[in-house]
Amino acid sequence: MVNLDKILVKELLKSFGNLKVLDNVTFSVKEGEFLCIVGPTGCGKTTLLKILANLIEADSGEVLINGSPPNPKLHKIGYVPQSISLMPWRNVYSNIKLGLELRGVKEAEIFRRVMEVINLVGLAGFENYFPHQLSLGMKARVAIARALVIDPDVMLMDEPLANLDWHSRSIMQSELLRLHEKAGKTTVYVTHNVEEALLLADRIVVLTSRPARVKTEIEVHFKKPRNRFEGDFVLLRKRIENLVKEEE
Amino acid sequence: MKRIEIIIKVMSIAFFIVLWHFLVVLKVIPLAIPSPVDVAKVYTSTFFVEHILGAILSSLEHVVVGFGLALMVAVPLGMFMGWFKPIEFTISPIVELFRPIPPIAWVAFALITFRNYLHVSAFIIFVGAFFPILTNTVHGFRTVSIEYIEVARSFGASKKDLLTKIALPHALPDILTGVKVGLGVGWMCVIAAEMFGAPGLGWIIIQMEYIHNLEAVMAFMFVVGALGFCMEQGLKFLEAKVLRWQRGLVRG
Repeated sequence: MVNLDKILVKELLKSFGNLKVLDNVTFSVKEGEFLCIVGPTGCGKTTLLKILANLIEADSGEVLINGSPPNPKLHKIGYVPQSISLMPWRNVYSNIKLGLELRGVKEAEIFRRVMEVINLVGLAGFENYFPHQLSLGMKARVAIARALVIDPDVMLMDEPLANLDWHSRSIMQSELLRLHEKAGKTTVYVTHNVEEALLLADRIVVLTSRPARVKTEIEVHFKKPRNRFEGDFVLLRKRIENLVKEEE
Repeated sequence: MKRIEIIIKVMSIAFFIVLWHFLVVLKVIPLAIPSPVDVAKVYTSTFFVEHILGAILSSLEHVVVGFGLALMVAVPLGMFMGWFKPIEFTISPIVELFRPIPPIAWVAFALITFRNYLHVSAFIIFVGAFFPILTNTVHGFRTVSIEYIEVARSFGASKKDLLTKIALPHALPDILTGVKVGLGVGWMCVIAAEMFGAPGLGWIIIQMEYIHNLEAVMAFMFVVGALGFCMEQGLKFLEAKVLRWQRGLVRG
Protein backbone atom coordinates (compact mmCIF):
# COMPACT_ATOMS: atom_id res chain seq x y z
CA MET A 1 0.00 0.00 0.00
CA VAL A 2 2.92 2.33 0.66
CA ASN A 3 3.53 3.18 -2.98
CA LEU A 4 -0.09 3.42 -4.04
CA ASP A 5 -0.83 6.65 -5.87
CA LYS A 6 -3.52 8.66 -4.12
CA ILE A 7 -3.80 11.00 -7.08
CA LEU A 8 -2.77 10.18 -10.60
CA VAL A 9 -2.76 12.88 -13.26
CA LYS A 10 -2.20 11.58 -16.76
CA GLU A 11 -1.61 13.52 -19.97
CA LEU A 12 -3.98 16.37 -19.16
CA LEU A 13 -4.81 18.77 -21.97
CA LYS A 14 -6.85 21.91 -21.52
CA SER A 15 -7.53 24.93 -23.72
CA PHE A 16 -9.78 27.92 -23.29
CA GLY A 17 -10.73 28.72 -26.85
CA ASN A 18 -7.43 29.18 -28.70
CA LEU A 19 -5.49 29.56 -25.49
CA LYS A 20 -3.72 26.34 -24.66
CA VAL A 21 -3.32 26.15 -20.88
CA LEU A 22 -2.27 22.61 -20.03
CA ASP A 23 -0.18 20.53 -22.39
CA ASN A 24 0.23 16.92 -21.44
CA VAL A 25 0.57 17.33 -17.69
CA THR A 26 1.41 14.11 -15.90
CA PHE A 27 2.32 13.50 -12.27
CA SER A 28 1.21 11.52 -9.28
CA VAL A 29 0.81 12.10 -5.55
CA LYS A 30 1.38 9.43 -2.94
CA GLU A 31 -0.83 8.79 0.07
CA GLY A 32 -0.08 11.35 2.77
CA GLU A 33 2.34 13.25 0.57
CA PHE A 34 2.56 17.04 0.51
CA LEU A 35 3.10 17.98 -3.12
CA CYS A 36 3.79 21.54 -4.16
CA ILE A 37 3.25 22.76 -7.69
CA VAL A 38 5.32 25.78 -8.61
CA GLY A 39 5.55 27.64 -11.87
CA PRO A 40 5.52 31.14 -13.32
CA THR A 41 2.48 33.31 -12.75
CA GLY A 42 -0.36 32.59 -15.14
CA CYS A 43 1.02 29.24 -16.26
CA GLY A 44 -2.16 27.31 -15.55
CA LYS A 45 -1.62 26.14 -11.96
CA THR A 46 -5.08 27.21 -10.84
CA THR A 47 -6.69 25.56 -13.86
CA LEU A 48 -4.87 22.35 -13.03
CA LEU A 49 -6.09 22.45 -9.43
CA LYS A 50 -9.66 23.14 -10.51
CA ILE A 51 -9.56 20.12 -12.76
CA LEU A 52 -8.42 18.03 -9.78
CA ALA A 53 -11.28 19.51 -7.73
CA ASN A 54 -13.71 18.51 -10.50
CA LEU A 55 -14.72 22.14 -11.00
CA ILE A 56 -13.72 22.26 -14.64
CA GLU A 57 -13.26 19.47 -17.13
CA ALA A 58 -10.06 18.69 -18.99
CA ASP A 59 -10.23 18.39 -22.78
CA SER A 60 -8.48 15.07 -22.56
CA GLY A 61 -6.35 13.05 -20.21
CA GLU A 62 -7.19 11.49 -16.93
CA VAL A 63 -7.39 12.29 -13.23
CA LEU A 64 -7.71 9.41 -10.82
CA ILE A 65 -8.24 9.79 -7.10
CA ASN A 66 -8.03 6.47 -5.25
CA GLY A 67 -8.14 4.90 -8.69
CA SER A 68 -11.33 6.53 -9.98
CA PRO A 69 -12.20 9.87 -11.65
CA PRO A 70 -13.05 12.71 -9.24
CA ASN A 71 -16.64 12.34 -8.10
CA PRO A 72 -18.29 14.15 -5.19
CA LYS A 73 -20.13 10.95 -4.25
CA LEU A 74 -16.94 8.90 -4.00
CA HIS A 75 -14.38 11.46 -2.89
CA LYS A 76 -14.22 14.19 -0.38
CA ILE A 77 -12.22 17.11 -1.72
CA GLY A 78 -10.88 19.74 0.65
CA TYR A 79 -10.59 22.70 -1.68
CA VAL A 80 -9.06 25.98 -0.52
CA PRO A 81 -9.39 28.61 -3.25
CA GLN A 82 -6.89 31.37 -3.91
CA SER A 83 -9.28 34.07 -2.76
CA ILE A 84 -10.21 32.16 0.44
CA SER A 85 -13.86 32.96 -0.37
CA LEU A 86 -15.54 32.83 3.00
CA MET A 87 -19.23 33.58 2.80
CA PRO A 88 -19.72 36.97 4.46
CA TRP A 89 -23.23 36.11 5.70
CA ARG A 90 -21.98 33.05 7.59
CA ASN A 91 -20.03 33.29 10.81
CA VAL A 92 -16.88 31.25 11.38
CA TYR A 93 -18.82 28.25 12.68
CA SER A 94 -21.30 28.24 9.76
CA ASN A 95 -18.60 28.81 7.19
CA ILE A 96 -16.67 25.81 8.45
CA LYS A 97 -19.73 23.57 8.55
CA LEU A 98 -20.71 24.25 4.92
CA GLY A 99 -19.30 21.03 3.50
CA LEU A 100 -20.92 18.88 6.19
CA GLU A 101 -24.23 20.71 5.79
CA LEU A 102 -24.18 20.09 2.03
CA ARG A 103 -23.53 16.41 2.67
CA GLY A 104 -26.54 16.21 4.95
CA VAL A 105 -24.62 15.38 8.12
CA LYS A 106 -26.74 15.61 11.28
CA GLU A 107 -26.51 18.81 13.32
CA ALA A 108 -25.11 17.12 16.45
CA GLU A 109 -22.38 15.42 14.44
CA ILE A 110 -21.68 18.70 12.62
CA PHE A 111 -21.27 20.48 15.95
CA ARG A 112 -18.84 17.88 17.26
CA ARG A 113 -16.68 17.88 14.14
CA VAL A 114 -16.68 21.64 13.61
CA MET A 115 -15.67 22.29 17.21
CA GLU A 116 -12.91 19.70 16.91
CA VAL A 117 -11.48 21.32 13.80
CA ILE A 118 -11.89 24.82 15.26
CA ASN A 119 -9.64 23.75 18.11
CA LEU A 120 -7.25 22.06 15.71
CA VAL A 121 -6.67 25.17 13.60
CA GLY A 122 -6.57 27.56 16.56
CA LEU A 123 -9.87 29.37 16.08
CA ALA A 124 -11.40 28.59 19.48
CA GLY A 125 -13.41 31.57 20.73
CA PHE A 126 -13.98 32.95 17.21
CA GLU A 127 -16.99 30.73 16.34
CA ASN A 128 -19.44 33.63 16.21
CA TYR A 129 -17.22 36.09 14.37
CA PHE A 130 -18.12 37.10 10.86
CA PRO A 131 -15.40 37.04 8.16
CA HIS A 132 -15.08 40.83 7.99
CA GLN A 133 -14.12 40.85 11.66
CA LEU A 134 -11.12 38.56 11.07
CA SER A 135 -7.54 39.20 9.98
CA LEU A 136 -6.33 37.68 6.72
CA GLY A 137 -4.43 35.00 8.65
CA MET A 138 -7.58 34.08 10.58
CA LYS A 139 -9.56 33.93 7.36
CA ALA A 140 -7.01 31.54 5.90
CA ARG A 141 -7.42 29.35 9.00
CA VAL A 142 -11.19 29.30 8.50
CA ALA A 143 -10.81 28.30 4.86
CA ILE A 144 -8.42 25.51 5.81
CA ALA A 145 -10.77 24.38 8.60
CA ARG A 146 -13.69 24.39 6.17
CA ALA A 147 -11.73 21.98 3.95
CA LEU A 148 -10.40 19.81 6.81
CA VAL A 149 -13.72 19.33 8.58
CA ILE A 150 -15.13 17.02 5.91
CA ASP A 151 -12.18 14.67 6.54
CA PRO A 152 -11.10 14.98 2.89
CA ASP A 153 -9.41 12.30 0.83
CA VAL A 154 -7.20 15.02 -0.60
CA MET A 155 -6.53 18.66 0.22
CA LEU A 156 -6.21 20.98 -2.78
CA MET A 157 -4.87 24.39 -1.87
CA ASP A 158 -4.45 27.28 -4.28
CA GLU A 159 -1.97 29.78 -2.80
CA PRO A 160 -4.04 30.20 0.36
CA LEU A 161 -1.39 32.46 1.89
CA ALA A 162 -0.83 34.66 -1.16
CA ASN A 163 -2.36 37.79 0.38
CA LEU A 164 -0.70 37.55 3.77
CA ASP A 165 2.12 39.77 4.98
CA TRP A 166 5.47 38.10 5.61
CA HIS A 167 4.93 37.67 9.35
CA SER A 168 1.48 36.06 9.25
CA ARG A 169 2.59 34.09 6.26
CA SER A 170 5.47 32.45 8.12
CA ILE A 171 3.18 31.71 11.07
CA MET A 172 0.68 30.07 8.74
CA GLN A 173 3.43 28.09 7.03
CA SER A 174 4.31 26.49 10.36
CA GLU A 175 0.61 25.94 10.98
CA LEU A 176 0.26 24.13 7.66
CA LEU A 177 3.21 21.91 8.57
CA ARG A 178 1.69 21.15 11.96
CA LEU A 179 -1.72 20.38 10.44
CA HIS A 180 -0.22 18.15 7.77
CA GLU A 181 1.75 16.23 10.37
CA LYS A 182 -1.34 15.86 12.55
CA ALA A 183 -4.03 15.16 9.96
CA GLY A 184 -1.71 13.49 7.42
CA LYS A 185 -3.82 14.56 4.47
CA THR A 186 -2.57 14.01 0.95
CA THR A 187 -2.09 17.56 -0.25
CA VAL A 188 -1.58 19.35 -3.54
CA TYR A 189 -0.47 22.89 -2.86
CA VAL A 190 -0.11 25.45 -5.62
CA THR A 191 2.21 28.40 -5.11
CA HIS A 192 4.62 30.57 -7.01
CA ASN A 193 6.65 31.15 -3.88
CA VAL A 194 9.55 28.69 -4.10
CA GLU A 195 10.64 29.23 -0.50
CA GLU A 196 7.16 28.36 0.72
CA ALA A 197 7.13 25.24 -1.45
CA LEU A 198 10.48 24.17 -0.01
CA LEU A 199 9.29 24.69 3.56
CA LEU A 200 6.20 22.57 3.07
CA ALA A 201 6.72 20.04 0.33
CA ASP A 202 7.82 16.44 0.27
CA ARG A 203 8.10 16.83 -3.47
CA ILE A 204 7.92 19.78 -5.85
CA VAL A 205 6.57 19.73 -9.38
CA VAL A 206 7.90 22.59 -11.49
CA LEU A 207 5.70 23.64 -14.39
CA THR A 208 6.76 25.43 -17.55
CA SER A 209 5.16 28.70 -18.65
CA ARG A 210 1.88 28.44 -20.51
CA PRO A 211 0.94 25.98 -21.85
CA ALA A 212 2.06 24.19 -18.70
CA ARG A 213 4.02 21.00 -18.90
CA VAL A 214 5.91 19.31 -16.09
CA LYS A 215 9.41 20.75 -16.36
CA THR A 216 10.87 18.71 -13.58
CA GLU A 217 10.09 17.03 -10.28
CA ILE A 218 12.24 17.49 -7.22
CA GLU A 219 12.14 15.37 -4.06
CA VAL A 220 12.81 17.46 -0.98
CA HIS A 221 14.53 15.33 1.63
CA PHE A 222 15.29 17.96 4.30
CA LYS A 223 13.82 17.08 7.66
CA LYS A 224 10.79 19.15 8.68
CA PRO A 225 10.52 21.73 10.13
CA ARG A 226 13.09 23.27 7.82
CA ASN A 227 15.33 26.25 8.32
CA ARG A 228 14.91 28.67 5.45
CA PHE A 229 18.34 30.23 6.08
CA GLU A 230 20.30 26.96 6.12
CA GLY A 231 22.88 26.54 3.30
CA ASP A 232 21.49 23.51 1.41
CA PHE A 233 17.99 24.92 1.64
CA VAL A 234 19.11 28.21 0.13
CA LEU A 235 21.04 26.44 -2.64
CA LEU A 236 18.06 24.31 -3.60
CA ARG A 237 15.79 27.35 -3.45
CA LYS A 238 18.07 29.22 -5.84
CA ARG A 239 18.21 26.24 -8.17
CA ILE A 240 14.42 25.98 -8.36
CA GLU A 241 13.98 29.73 -8.63
CA ASN A 242 16.30 29.67 -11.63
CA LEU A 243 14.24 26.89 -13.20
CA VAL A 244 11.11 29.02 -12.77
CA LYS A 245 12.91 32.14 -13.98
CA GLU A 246 13.94 30.38 -17.21
CA GLU A 247 10.23 30.14 -17.93
CA GLU A 248 9.37 33.78 -17.33
CA MET B 1 -30.15 54.79 19.10
CA LYS B 2 -28.38 56.86 21.71
CA ARG B 3 -30.45 59.07 24.01
CA ILE B 4 -28.73 62.21 22.86
CA GLU B 5 -29.60 61.36 19.25
CA ILE B 6 -33.29 61.03 20.13
CA ILE B 7 -33.25 64.33 21.99
CA ILE B 8 -31.62 66.10 19.04
CA LYS B 9 -34.12 64.60 16.60
CA VAL B 10 -37.11 65.65 18.70
CA MET B 11 -35.66 69.14 19.17
CA SER B 12 -35.08 69.41 15.45
CA ILE B 13 -38.75 68.71 14.72
CA ALA B 14 -39.86 71.08 17.50
CA PHE B 15 -37.64 73.79 16.04
CA PHE B 16 -39.14 73.28 12.60
CA ILE B 17 -42.71 73.58 13.94
CA VAL B 18 -41.89 76.76 15.87
CA LEU B 19 -40.18 78.24 12.80
CA TRP B 20 -43.15 77.33 10.62
CA HIS B 21 -45.52 78.90 13.14
CA PHE B 22 -43.70 82.22 13.22
CA LEU B 23 -43.20 82.35 9.47
CA VAL B 24 -46.97 82.09 9.07
CA VAL B 25 -48.04 84.28 12.00
CA LEU B 26 -45.57 87.07 11.13
CA LYS B 27 -46.59 86.72 7.45
CA VAL B 28 -42.98 86.31 6.32
CA ILE B 29 -44.11 84.03 3.48
CA PRO B 30 -46.68 85.66 1.23
CA LEU B 31 -48.84 82.53 0.95
CA ALA B 32 -52.03 81.57 2.75
CA ILE B 33 -50.50 78.60 4.53
CA PRO B 34 -52.12 77.44 7.77
CA SER B 35 -50.06 77.58 10.93
CA PRO B 36 -49.22 74.37 12.84
CA VAL B 37 -51.86 75.37 15.37
CA ASP B 38 -54.51 75.40 12.62
CA VAL B 39 -53.38 71.98 11.43
CA ALA B 40 -53.34 70.61 14.97
CA LYS B 41 -56.94 71.76 15.45
CA VAL B 42 -57.98 69.47 12.57
CA TYR B 43 -56.76 66.47 14.57
CA THR B 44 -59.30 67.26 17.31
CA SER B 45 -62.21 67.83 14.93
CA THR B 46 -65.04 65.27 14.83
CA PHE B 47 -64.62 64.93 11.06
CA PHE B 48 -61.04 63.78 11.49
CA VAL B 49 -61.81 61.46 14.38
CA GLU B 50 -64.69 59.87 12.50
CA HIS B 51 -62.84 59.31 9.22
CA ILE B 52 -59.21 58.73 9.99
CA LEU B 53 -59.33 55.08 11.03
CA GLY B 54 -61.39 54.02 8.05
CA ALA B 55 -59.15 55.92 5.64
CA ILE B 56 -55.97 54.43 7.10
CA LEU B 57 -57.36 50.90 7.05
CA SER B 58 -58.54 51.36 3.50
CA SER B 59 -55.14 52.65 2.31
CA LEU B 60 -53.34 49.90 4.18
CA GLU B 61 -55.59 47.32 2.59
CA HIS B 62 -54.56 48.59 -0.83
CA VAL B 63 -50.91 48.37 0.20
CA VAL B 64 -51.19 44.88 1.63
CA VAL B 65 -52.88 43.51 -1.48
CA GLY B 66 -50.84 45.38 -4.12
CA PHE B 67 -47.49 45.21 -2.40
CA GLY B 68 -48.03 41.61 -1.33
CA LEU B 69 -48.73 40.60 -4.91
CA ALA B 70 -45.69 42.53 -6.16
CA LEU B 71 -43.54 40.71 -3.62
CA MET B 72 -44.92 37.31 -4.53
CA VAL B 73 -44.36 37.81 -8.24
CA ALA B 74 -41.21 39.96 -8.38
CA VAL B 75 -38.99 37.98 -5.98
CA PRO B 76 -39.38 34.53 -7.61
CA LEU B 77 -39.30 36.05 -11.10
CA GLY B 78 -36.20 38.08 -10.21
CA MET B 79 -34.58 34.96 -8.80
CA PHE B 80 -35.10 32.97 -11.99
CA MET B 81 -34.05 35.88 -14.18
CA GLY B 82 -30.91 36.54 -12.17
CA TRP B 83 -29.93 32.90 -11.87
CA PHE B 84 -30.81 31.49 -15.30
CA LYS B 85 -29.36 33.53 -18.16
CA PRO B 86 -31.80 32.31 -20.86
CA ILE B 87 -34.77 33.33 -18.73
CA GLU B 88 -33.29 36.80 -18.32
CA PHE B 89 -32.70 37.14 -22.07
CA THR B 90 -36.31 36.18 -22.69
CA ILE B 91 -38.06 38.21 -20.01
CA SER B 92 -35.97 41.38 -19.78
CA PRO B 93 -37.10 42.91 -23.10
CA ILE B 94 -40.68 42.76 -21.85
CA VAL B 95 -39.66 44.20 -18.49
CA GLU B 96 -37.75 47.02 -20.19
CA LEU B 97 -40.80 47.76 -22.32
CA PHE B 98 -43.01 48.43 -19.29
CA ARG B 99 -40.54 49.67 -16.69
CA PRO B 100 -40.15 53.24 -18.01
CA ILE B 101 -43.93 53.82 -17.81
CA PRO B 102 -44.52 55.77 -14.57
CA PRO B 103 -46.98 53.92 -12.30
CA ILE B 104 -49.28 56.96 -12.23
CA ALA B 105 -49.67 56.65 -15.99
CA TRP B 106 -51.38 53.32 -15.31
CA VAL B 107 -54.18 54.99 -13.33
CA ALA B 108 -56.31 55.69 -16.41
CA PHE B 109 -55.75 52.14 -17.59
CA ALA B 110 -56.73 50.75 -14.21
CA LEU B 111 -59.83 52.93 -13.81
CA ILE B 112 -61.21 51.64 -17.10
CA THR B 113 -60.12 48.05 -16.64
CA PHE B 114 -61.13 47.41 -13.04
CA ARG B 115 -64.57 48.12 -11.68
CA ASN B 116 -63.56 47.84 -8.04
CA TYR B 117 -61.60 50.68 -6.43
CA LEU B 118 -59.64 48.27 -4.28
CA HIS B 119 -58.41 46.63 -7.46
CA VAL B 120 -57.47 49.98 -9.00
CA SER B 121 -55.37 51.09 -6.04
CA ALA B 122 -53.87 47.66 -5.46
CA PHE B 123 -52.91 47.49 -9.12
CA ILE B 124 -51.19 50.87 -9.02
CA ILE B 125 -49.16 50.01 -5.93
CA PHE B 126 -48.35 46.68 -7.57
CA VAL B 127 -46.92 48.47 -10.61
CA GLY B 128 -45.01 50.90 -8.40
CA ALA B 129 -43.46 48.24 -6.18
CA PHE B 130 -42.94 45.53 -8.77
CA PHE B 131 -40.04 46.96 -10.78
CA PRO B 132 -37.75 48.08 -7.94
CA ILE B 133 -38.15 44.67 -6.28
CA LEU B 134 -37.59 42.84 -9.56
CA THR B 135 -34.49 44.72 -10.70
CA ASN B 136 -32.83 44.54 -7.29
CA THR B 137 -33.58 40.83 -6.95
CA VAL B 138 -32.17 40.14 -10.41
CA HIS B 139 -29.05 42.07 -9.50
CA GLY B 140 -28.67 40.13 -6.25
CA PHE B 141 -28.78 36.76 -7.99
CA ARG B 142 -26.68 37.83 -10.95
CA THR B 143 -23.77 39.04 -8.84
CA VAL B 144 -23.14 35.85 -6.88
CA SER B 145 -19.38 35.30 -6.87
CA ILE B 146 -18.18 32.31 -8.87
CA GLU B 147 -15.75 31.62 -6.03
CA TYR B 148 -18.59 30.87 -3.59
CA ILE B 149 -20.20 28.62 -6.17
CA GLU B 150 -16.91 26.78 -6.71
CA VAL B 151 -16.37 26.21 -3.01
CA ALA B 152 -19.87 24.77 -2.69
CA ARG B 153 -19.45 22.66 -5.81
CA SER B 154 -16.17 21.25 -4.55
CA PHE B 155 -18.21 19.89 -1.64
CA GLY B 156 -20.63 18.28 -4.08
CA ALA B 157 -23.43 20.86 -3.78
CA SER B 158 -26.50 20.17 -5.93
CA LYS B 159 -28.03 22.85 -8.19
CA LYS B 160 -30.74 23.40 -5.59
CA ASP B 161 -28.13 23.82 -2.84
CA LEU B 162 -26.35 26.47 -4.91
CA LEU B 163 -29.57 28.40 -5.28
CA THR B 164 -30.81 28.15 -1.70
CA LYS B 165 -27.60 28.07 0.32
CA ILE B 166 -25.36 30.36 -1.73
CA ALA B 167 -27.33 32.54 -4.15
CA LEU B 168 -30.32 33.33 -1.94
CA PRO B 169 -28.37 34.53 1.12
CA HIS B 170 -26.10 36.47 -1.21
CA ALA B 171 -29.07 38.14 -2.88
CA LEU B 172 -30.94 38.90 0.33
CA PRO B 173 -29.48 42.40 0.93
CA ASP B 174 -30.42 43.38 -2.63
CA ILE B 175 -33.90 41.90 -2.29
CA LEU B 176 -34.43 43.92 0.88
CA THR B 177 -33.21 47.08 -0.84
CA GLY B 178 -35.77 46.43 -3.57
CA VAL B 179 -38.48 45.88 -0.98
CA LYS B 180 -37.65 49.17 0.73
CA VAL B 181 -37.59 51.16 -2.50
CA GLY B 182 -40.67 49.33 -3.77
CA LEU B 183 -42.67 50.06 -0.65
CA GLY B 184 -41.70 53.74 -0.81
CA VAL B 185 -42.67 54.06 -4.46
CA GLY B 186 -45.81 52.01 -3.87
CA TRP B 187 -46.92 54.21 -0.99
CA MET B 188 -46.57 57.29 -3.19
CA CYS B 189 -48.55 55.57 -5.91
CA VAL B 190 -51.38 54.38 -3.69
CA ILE B 191 -52.06 57.90 -2.39
CA ALA B 192 -52.05 59.20 -5.96
CA ALA B 193 -54.34 56.39 -7.13
CA GLU B 194 -56.82 57.08 -4.34
CA MET B 195 -57.10 60.67 -5.50
CA PHE B 196 -59.00 59.30 -8.47
CA GLY B 197 -61.73 57.92 -6.30
CA ALA B 198 -60.67 54.89 -4.28
CA PRO B 199 -61.54 55.37 -0.61
CA GLY B 200 -58.46 56.03 1.50
CA LEU B 201 -56.15 58.82 2.62
CA GLY B 202 -55.54 60.06 -0.91
CA TRP B 203 -59.27 60.31 -1.53
CA ILE B 204 -59.86 62.35 1.64
CA ILE B 205 -57.00 64.68 0.74
CA ILE B 206 -58.52 65.42 -2.65
CA GLN B 207 -61.98 65.89 -1.09
CA MET B 208 -60.51 68.48 1.27
CA GLU B 209 -58.95 70.18 -1.72
CA TYR B 210 -62.41 70.47 -3.37
CA ILE B 211 -63.70 72.41 -0.36
CA HIS B 212 -60.48 74.43 -0.08
CA ASN B 213 -59.73 73.19 3.41
CA LEU B 214 -55.95 73.48 3.39
CA GLU B 215 -55.61 72.74 7.13
CA ALA B 216 -57.28 69.37 6.60
CA VAL B 217 -55.23 68.66 3.45
CA MET B 218 -52.05 69.18 5.44
CA ALA B 219 -53.31 67.28 8.45
CA PHE B 220 -53.97 64.20 6.32
CA MET B 221 -50.70 64.68 4.45
CA PHE B 222 -48.84 64.37 7.74
CA VAL B 223 -50.75 61.15 8.48
CA VAL B 224 -49.60 59.81 5.10
CA GLY B 225 -46.03 60.82 5.96
CA ALA B 226 -46.20 59.28 9.42
CA LEU B 227 -47.48 55.96 8.07
CA GLY B 228 -44.79 55.88 5.39
CA PHE B 229 -42.21 56.58 8.06
CA CYS B 230 -43.53 53.73 10.24
CA MET B 231 -43.42 51.27 7.34
CA GLU B 232 -39.85 52.23 6.54
CA GLN B 233 -38.81 51.87 10.18
CA GLY B 234 -40.46 48.46 10.26
CA LEU B 235 -38.45 47.38 7.23
CA LYS B 236 -35.24 48.77 8.66
CA PHE B 237 -35.85 46.79 11.83
CA LEU B 238 -36.44 43.66 9.76
CA GLU B 239 -33.33 44.37 7.70
CA ALA B 240 -31.17 44.75 10.80
CA LYS B 241 -32.42 41.36 12.03
CA VAL B 242 -31.98 39.53 8.74
CA LEU B 243 -28.66 41.14 7.80
CA ARG B 244 -27.14 40.89 11.25
CA TRP B 245 -23.88 39.78 9.63
CA GLN B 246 -23.44 43.18 8.00
CA ARG B 247 -23.06 44.91 11.34
CA GLY B 248 -19.67 46.61 11.37
CA LEU B 249 -19.22 45.97 7.67
CA VAL B 250 -21.28 48.92 6.52
CA ARG B 251 -21.61 52.29 8.20
CA GLY B 252 -25.29 51.65 8.90
